[in-house]
Amino acid sequence: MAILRKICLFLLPFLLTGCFTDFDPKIKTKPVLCLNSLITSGKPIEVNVTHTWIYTDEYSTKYHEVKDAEIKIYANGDRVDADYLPKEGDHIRIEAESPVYGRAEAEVDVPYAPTTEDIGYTFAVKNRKASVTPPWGLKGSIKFDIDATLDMQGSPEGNLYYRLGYDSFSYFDSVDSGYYESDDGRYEDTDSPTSQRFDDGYLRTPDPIFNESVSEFEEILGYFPSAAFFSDHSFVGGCRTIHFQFDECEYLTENWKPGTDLMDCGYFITLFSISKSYFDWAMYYWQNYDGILGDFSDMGFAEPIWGYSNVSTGAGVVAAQSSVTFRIDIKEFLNENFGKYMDEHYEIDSRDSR
Amino acid sequence: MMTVNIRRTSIFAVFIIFSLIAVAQEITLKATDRPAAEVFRSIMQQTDRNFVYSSELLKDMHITIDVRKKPLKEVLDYIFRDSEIEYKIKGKNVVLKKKKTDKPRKNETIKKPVASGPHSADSVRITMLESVDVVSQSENHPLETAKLGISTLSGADILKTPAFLGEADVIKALQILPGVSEATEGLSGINVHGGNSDENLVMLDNVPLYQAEHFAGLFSPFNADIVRSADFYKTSVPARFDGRLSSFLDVHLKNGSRQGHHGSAKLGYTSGAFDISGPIGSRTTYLVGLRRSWYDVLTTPILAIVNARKENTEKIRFAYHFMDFNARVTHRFSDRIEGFANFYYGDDLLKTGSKDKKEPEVGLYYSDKYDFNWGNFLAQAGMNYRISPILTSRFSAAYTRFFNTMKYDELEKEITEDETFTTRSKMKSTNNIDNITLRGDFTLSPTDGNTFRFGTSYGWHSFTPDRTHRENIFNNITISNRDESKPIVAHQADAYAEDDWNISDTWHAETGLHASLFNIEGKTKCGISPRLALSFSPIPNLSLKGAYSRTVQYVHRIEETYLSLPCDRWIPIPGRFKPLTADKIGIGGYWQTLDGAYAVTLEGYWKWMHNLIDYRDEYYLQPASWSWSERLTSGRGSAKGVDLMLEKKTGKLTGHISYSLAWADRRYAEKNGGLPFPARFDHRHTVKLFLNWDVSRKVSLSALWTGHSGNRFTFLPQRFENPVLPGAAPTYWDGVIIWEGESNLKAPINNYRLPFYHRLDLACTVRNRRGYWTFSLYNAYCNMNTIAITTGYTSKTTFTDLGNGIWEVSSGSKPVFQKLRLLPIIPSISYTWQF
Repeated sequence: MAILRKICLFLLPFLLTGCFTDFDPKIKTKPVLCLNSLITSGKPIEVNVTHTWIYTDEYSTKYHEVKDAEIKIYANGDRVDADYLPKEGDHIRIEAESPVYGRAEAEVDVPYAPTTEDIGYTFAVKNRKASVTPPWGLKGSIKFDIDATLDMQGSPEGNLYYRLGYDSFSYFDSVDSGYYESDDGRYEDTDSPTSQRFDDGYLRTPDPIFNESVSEFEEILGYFPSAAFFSDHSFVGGCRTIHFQFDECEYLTENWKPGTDLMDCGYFITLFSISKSYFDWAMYYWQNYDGILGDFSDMGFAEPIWGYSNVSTGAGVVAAQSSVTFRIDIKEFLNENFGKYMDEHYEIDSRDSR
Repeated sequence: MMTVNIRRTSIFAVFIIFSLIAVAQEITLKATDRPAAEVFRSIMQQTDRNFVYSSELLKDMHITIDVRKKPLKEVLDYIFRDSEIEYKIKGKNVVLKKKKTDKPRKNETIKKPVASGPHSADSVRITMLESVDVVSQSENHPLETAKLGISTLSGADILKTPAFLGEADVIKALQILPGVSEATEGLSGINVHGGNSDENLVMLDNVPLYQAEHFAGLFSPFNADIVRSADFYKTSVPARFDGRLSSFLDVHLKNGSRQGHHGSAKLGYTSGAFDISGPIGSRTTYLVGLRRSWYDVLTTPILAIVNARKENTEKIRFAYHFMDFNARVTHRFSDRIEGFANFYYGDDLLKTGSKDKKEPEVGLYYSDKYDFNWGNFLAQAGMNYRISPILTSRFSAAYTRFFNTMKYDELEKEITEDETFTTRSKMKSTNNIDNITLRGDFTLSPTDGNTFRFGTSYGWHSFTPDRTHRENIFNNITISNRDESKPIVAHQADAYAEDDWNISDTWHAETGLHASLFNIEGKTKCGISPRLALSFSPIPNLSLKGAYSRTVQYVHRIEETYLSLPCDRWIPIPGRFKPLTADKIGIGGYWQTLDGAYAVTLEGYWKWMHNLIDYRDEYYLQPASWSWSERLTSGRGSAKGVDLMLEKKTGKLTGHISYSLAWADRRYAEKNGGLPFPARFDHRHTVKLFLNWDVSRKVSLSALWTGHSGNRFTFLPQRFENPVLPGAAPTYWDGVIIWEGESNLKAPINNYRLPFYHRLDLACTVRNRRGYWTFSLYNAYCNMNTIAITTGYTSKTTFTDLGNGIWEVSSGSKPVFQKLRLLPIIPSISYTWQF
């Protein structure tokens, strides 16, 4: 048995050998220009010019801005100044040239804003609570979901691309500031003067149209997109009602008294028409960072994925968008389903205390 | 001076080799009235020759013999002297047949007193029944066929090959042949002469199977214990086969034993197997084989215990198994008609999920179920009918079904005092292929030196590449996407004719033509596949060969990963694409020593592939649910190379060493910017060494060393900064971008060659009275080969001189490229009990 032990000891280091070994591939690379820009109709064009770098170049990982590049912007074939405001339907071309990194160019069409006219929405009450809690008096909350719909018209070619965005809002008519949060993470938080608060729910996109990027295999393994992109590919020339949902919305109040005014709160829903390059980037982003293909390629069981680009050098994305915004008002719903409920509890509690 | 030395060394080496060859095989045998099969088994163990015969031929034959150190030929001459059996040594096989000149005699007993002489034996007693013609594997012996690039593996050959995880595997046994490379380390896919892995037709008794893999490709679908032989064609392809570009593998199961009920039971690292065969009456035989992985035998009770624990509030559901079941029945209706029926079912089933144990009165309830199931079903029936002494036929009907189902059901209930809110997501996705094939094959042998085969078949195919039903319920609102797409039906008609003609003692030709029509979606595609093989034997043990073949493929597999996963789809050629075709020419030669102990095979080939289909660049930008054909691109490829193999076929130590020099490339309209690029498995140099040493009658050792140039890999060394696009953008925290992200810059496909690949596999078989143990070591010296280049960070310590002898030490990490290395040494063990 002693020999067995020795054999085991001998084999153990091999079995425990790490799967990753550092190495230098001794490969030469040539950095090129990278252009990134998101063009929004009605806003000045900003272009971010950087250069590519080899992964192991620690300095360039942090510092890859190109400051000596000459940038030219063309709208519908004519060169325009930096303060040009792009319009829907414009064909924008961006060129950049650097003495060190060479030349790069990219083109994009600014899409027309969606023609969708209105938004439909309903509420589903999940839970209501009210209790007297000293020293805050009558305290209550309501939890609810919002089911929203947008009626979309598909293009004859099926080549329109969209992104759904939202901002929540809550404020008193008499007070300018309030609680404000956008899906990009910017927020401004001010205490409400009446100890009321609207906690916005999170966006759920159970409509299969948002899952087009997810293969069945990914779906079954629990890969879901975190962003709300879709196209009219599945309803070419027809109509389609898009469903989405705000889940787990909550409105809370303390020290309730009859006649208390509820906040104006709700959501701004922004429907963006986006360029194909934007949509393609989103698809790449999903595959590489969230999809199964990215995971398999990281493990060496699939071809590596390169970043999508519509720039001539293969680095960067020039995208465009136009948008239309809708408003979902919650106050009326709260008055009916929460205000009255709290009033009833106030009366019951007052009667009990007498 | 150097040249002279090399020449001398070469001459010396040749002398040594010929000296070794000169050693004749000698047999020592003593038997008294023992069944012939036992005696031949003893001869096999001493000579490593296979005996190929109809079991009917040797029924009730008993042999008495006593010889010491006699040559094989002398022993066989002695055994079959004055009998109605003739033997022929063909390479590694001794083929036994009834003498053609004799008329068949029923139940005749021959008692032949044997004169004394070189043998001191007493008698040979043979009882004969009518023989059934044997389709022997020796038909493919390189000296007797004009075909190039063919191999026949016997069941014993397959079991000898060192096995990964102890599972002897037909397809992995092929990987030791020159020109055949494993698609991904450890997996059973193969690339043959620069072809893709879906370009190999795997058949079970001439019926095609799809997705011929278990467990993400770790195992092939064949239970090696019941495989009689496997014919493999990679250059010269008989005209009766078509439908794939690169190779054809026809796996034949053993026939049921006519001499009692026999079988085996095996328990291995991953699975258990059982098979039994025997006669049913005097005319019928059966064979039944079952192999099944056994992990769920452990996981099911363990999970039951875990789930029963009170502190666990949820029940976990997990089960995985793969299995294959084979059954074969043969029945001899008369001496001219034999019927047969084959049945195969193989599948992989993975079930996972969980659910809350109790649904609360108020609160949340959650359950989910995920099921994957994929596999093949095959049912075939037919008969062999000897129309006349020179014309035989085979008629068969087969139904096959390839199925691949994925489904999930996720349920969430929010139960309040007033109402229950249900959120449910259900999905079921299927990829099926149903085939019905009717075929008739005829073999005409007008003269001894000419065999003419012809036949025809009709195939009905129903393809469901992707049908997905989805149903989402949220807050009791239901949105369902029901995929009502109908299966794509295709009709295929095939006809072939081939002639195997010994023109003279030195010239041998095999010609053939396969024609096919494939009708799909109202369009008919046509394929004409001529075949030609020619051999010239200036001396009896040398054959020089040349061959041309064209192959056509109508169905192919699209795969996103190197693994064999349920997400892979078998699809017919989409409307805008043409059938895949390949033209291949090969030249080569085969030489063996006169006693067949040593052989050298040399083969050069050049293959042009047309209308190949693959994913186009950045296909993943198109959402998965859109038309799959829009994600594909068409192109061409070529492969060329030379395979050289030296074999030692007899004796206690057998094996071969081979070297391959190869090139393989591809060019697609919408891949790599339309530029040509090397194939992933473009292995420039490959060396394989396989040795099997029968140490004694009880112990044998085998070793396989493989070394080849590394796979080609798309190496993306450069990065660029991600754009800031909301929704698919950098990460924010507190309104501040905390991670901008970076992406890989595009680079030419397969622009980098991974390091040289090499590994050694070892196996040891120890027999006892009841069966045998198999011990194996995969990657014995634990060279974990690189399968990819990836990126990571390594710790970094920096020393900064602050002066006055004071140093500041700071630590951090720096980005590095890393080799991803996969399989270490893997030991395994199995035991097979034979009865």
